[in-house]
Amino acid sequence: MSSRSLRLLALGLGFAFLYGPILWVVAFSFNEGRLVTLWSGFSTRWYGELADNERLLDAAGLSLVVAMISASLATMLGALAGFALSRLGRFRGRGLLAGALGAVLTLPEVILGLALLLAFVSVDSWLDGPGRGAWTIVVAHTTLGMAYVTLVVRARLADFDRSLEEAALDLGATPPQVFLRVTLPLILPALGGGWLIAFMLSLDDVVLASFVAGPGATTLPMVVFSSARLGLNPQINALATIMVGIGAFAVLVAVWLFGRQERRR
Amino acid sequence: MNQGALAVEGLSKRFGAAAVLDNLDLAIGAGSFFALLGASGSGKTTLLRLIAGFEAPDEGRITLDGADLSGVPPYERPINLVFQSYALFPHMTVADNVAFGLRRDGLSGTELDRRVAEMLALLRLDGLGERKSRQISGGQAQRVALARALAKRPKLLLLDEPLAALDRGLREHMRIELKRLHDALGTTFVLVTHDQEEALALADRVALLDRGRLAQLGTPEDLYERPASLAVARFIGQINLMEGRVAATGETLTIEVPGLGAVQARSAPLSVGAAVVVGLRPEKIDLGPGDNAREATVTDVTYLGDQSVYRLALADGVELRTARPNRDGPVARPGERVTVSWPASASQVFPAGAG
Amino acid sequence: MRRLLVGLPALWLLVFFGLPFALILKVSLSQAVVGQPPFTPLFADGAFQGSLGNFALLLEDDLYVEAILASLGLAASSTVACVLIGYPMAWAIAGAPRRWRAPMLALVALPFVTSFLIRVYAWIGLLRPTGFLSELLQSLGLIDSPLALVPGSFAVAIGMIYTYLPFMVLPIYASLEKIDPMLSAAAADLGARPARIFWSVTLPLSLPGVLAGSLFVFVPAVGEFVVPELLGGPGTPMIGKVIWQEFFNNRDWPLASALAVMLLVLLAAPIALAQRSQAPTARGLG
Repeated sequence: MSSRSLRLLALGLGFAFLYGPILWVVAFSFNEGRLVTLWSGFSTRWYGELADNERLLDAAGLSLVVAMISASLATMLGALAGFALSRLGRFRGRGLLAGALGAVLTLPEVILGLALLLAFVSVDSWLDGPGRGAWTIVVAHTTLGMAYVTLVVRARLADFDRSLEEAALDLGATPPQVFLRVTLPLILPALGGGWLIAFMLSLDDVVLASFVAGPGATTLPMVVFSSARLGLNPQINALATIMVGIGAFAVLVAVWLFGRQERRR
Repeated sequence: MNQGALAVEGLSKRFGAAAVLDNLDLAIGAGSFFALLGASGSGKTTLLRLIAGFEAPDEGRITLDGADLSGVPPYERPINLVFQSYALFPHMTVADNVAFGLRRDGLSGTELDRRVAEMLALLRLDGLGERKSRQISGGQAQRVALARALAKRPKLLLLDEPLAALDRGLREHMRIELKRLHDALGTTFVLVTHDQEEALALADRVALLDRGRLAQLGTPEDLYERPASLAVARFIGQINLMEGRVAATGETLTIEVPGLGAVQARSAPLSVGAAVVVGLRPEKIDLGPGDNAREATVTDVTYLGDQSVYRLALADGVELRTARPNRDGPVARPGERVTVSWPASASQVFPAGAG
Repeated sequence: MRRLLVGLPALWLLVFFGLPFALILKVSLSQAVVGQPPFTPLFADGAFQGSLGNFALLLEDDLYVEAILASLGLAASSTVACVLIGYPMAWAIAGAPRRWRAPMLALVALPFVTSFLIRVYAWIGLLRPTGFLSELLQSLGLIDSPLALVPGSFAVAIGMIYTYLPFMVLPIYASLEKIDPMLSAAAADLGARPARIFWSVTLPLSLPGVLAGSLFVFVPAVGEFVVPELLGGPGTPMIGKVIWQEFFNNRDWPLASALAVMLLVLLAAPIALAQRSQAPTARGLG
């Protein structure tokens, strides 16, 4: 067998494995019947029922808000940390900062969730407030997201041509002007990509949210999870299809941003 | 426009334990085309960064037209730099790159447009202003970098290896362009390069740096014809070296070279008995009778198109190389016996053991 | 400026990462009680009340030891399977024409951003007794009775492989892409056939990518909760699930904390290794 056909085979099987299940979910979201294993005709009824599912819509709304806030916070904190780690050279606590961010990235979510919950509970009992709620989810997701944003920002700054900043200085730009007119525009795609990653992570997380959420604060993944535990449900298929669409769109935007940045180099 | 005189006084810069610049003094005349020449590690790049203001010296100071530049940040120095990598802002058009420095000076509107158009015309970049800076060729990028640096009408222009990234044909062209710009603007140009050919061809004065110190300062001819030390003679161009001892002094030096006997060389302040090294540029050796005539065997001929290089074996293992233009092809073949000679004034004598 | 750059993220991590971990350690040394918070204080009546009792309990009870072993075993076999599937994919992409590489990498990363939960959910439908795979195999006559893969360890492994495959493909691709194609040409010029070139040149040079990918799959897989919860049954007591159950179902926070500490100790070495090879994921994600 030629190298070319080997490659095609590897890709064909690999992508079939990756996309088969997703296609199955999408296909059965349009199934008429309640049984998600037996095709009984095309219908969009599950999308209709989805639109009437108050609990699910509320959770989706909360998830979006949490994801937006935590992604923005994570981008800000991650950008600062990324700059500190790649630009400040050696400083006290550098290893600790890098290590903590790396640990957030690799630790099992169960541990991170448990640790954060213990912290929230302790703070609550020390300060006699403020209680858990959606904000605790925001904090947890910000912590997770900033680790990813830092990674992306560091990667971008690592191959950033420092002479561009020196050229700007040389041409009369003060350091703040250099940052605003040269550095920021050039790392903007990385920041955008980082934000998107943090946003998707937040929108997807069930473990951290289940640990730290206060009563009443239920995110979309928490609803999906509790429903999936009970078994299959065509409404979940419909919801999944919508989410796959949004995710695909986000990746296209990210690829476009990244591609633009690549071509600039 | 008699501005742009730069003086370097007692400048030292250390990185860790290593002294990159060691108590350097240097004066660069206003309006000159000056070259800082040196191998990598000579400290020339550090000197460039100190002049531009990206680094601060450990000791000493730099003045421009008498004004001390110590503590003046790069964005307030009337000095601009053409980066080796050009460092064009990839997110801006060519025109925006050129306008960047002018905008920092507060220029806007028609005045800004006029100055940008003027620079684009000066560098023959008309019509490229709206291109993104990543959509132009290497030669064009070089000229945009020049236009951008010159747009601010600096008193002094620093050029960091400006021709290194260009291919041979373009390099020739750019040399002429740089000379033209220098003549037209009268700005002081300071070229930093490791390429001696570039320095000799462009600059009216060259400073050769060696391990953080000034090895020689002079015209290109000074450096080639009258090198201050054996190290300079070795760094600039090709040279044949013969060890010997001073046998007699006078109008010319008589030097006893083992195997060759007494050789006449250019006068130098040396006393009889001193161990010396005689340097002889290959093109100054004649194939034929004359002063200092010796018999030799051609051992190798390297054909280079415009010229050929001959390797000659003299008595007692002394070896010389000479180059002749190929007017009618090579003038000798390997194995041929020839007579070589050279005038006493063609040789340079250095004390042995120094460099 | 410097202070802001370092200070703000450092402060955040101190409060929301450092403190929580100190608390896990603390709580793991206390005992469960009914109340709020549901664990005994570490210092009471002016004396240290902590004990290693929870850890002793964990080591004595076969349930926990088995859970840890099962987690390590499942994570290891999922990692190996990821290498077997992911390496050929990365190799195929690295060998594709340049303009196809970015879109194909995007295709590898795309499932990443289509909800993880949904992707695991999909396998419930595909692997359960009345699911797609079972029906397909029955209609082909390969099996007589419905195939019950969900719940089960096999399904959990499939779910893990499926979830973490991109983590494997991207670092391997990054290391394959860095290999100078002239090296293969040189090997061919010296008389090596394609298979020999692969074994002697390509594979050894891509091992750092394989190692990085393996760590990125293995570490999170050991502590995975969602996959075993949805695809595994009572027969697959993975440690992530056990922590969750101790915490939510039994409300034994100290025991859950002690389990978390044990998991951390187990994963410390692979996590430290993974930290050193983070660069490839940055490329993959950015």
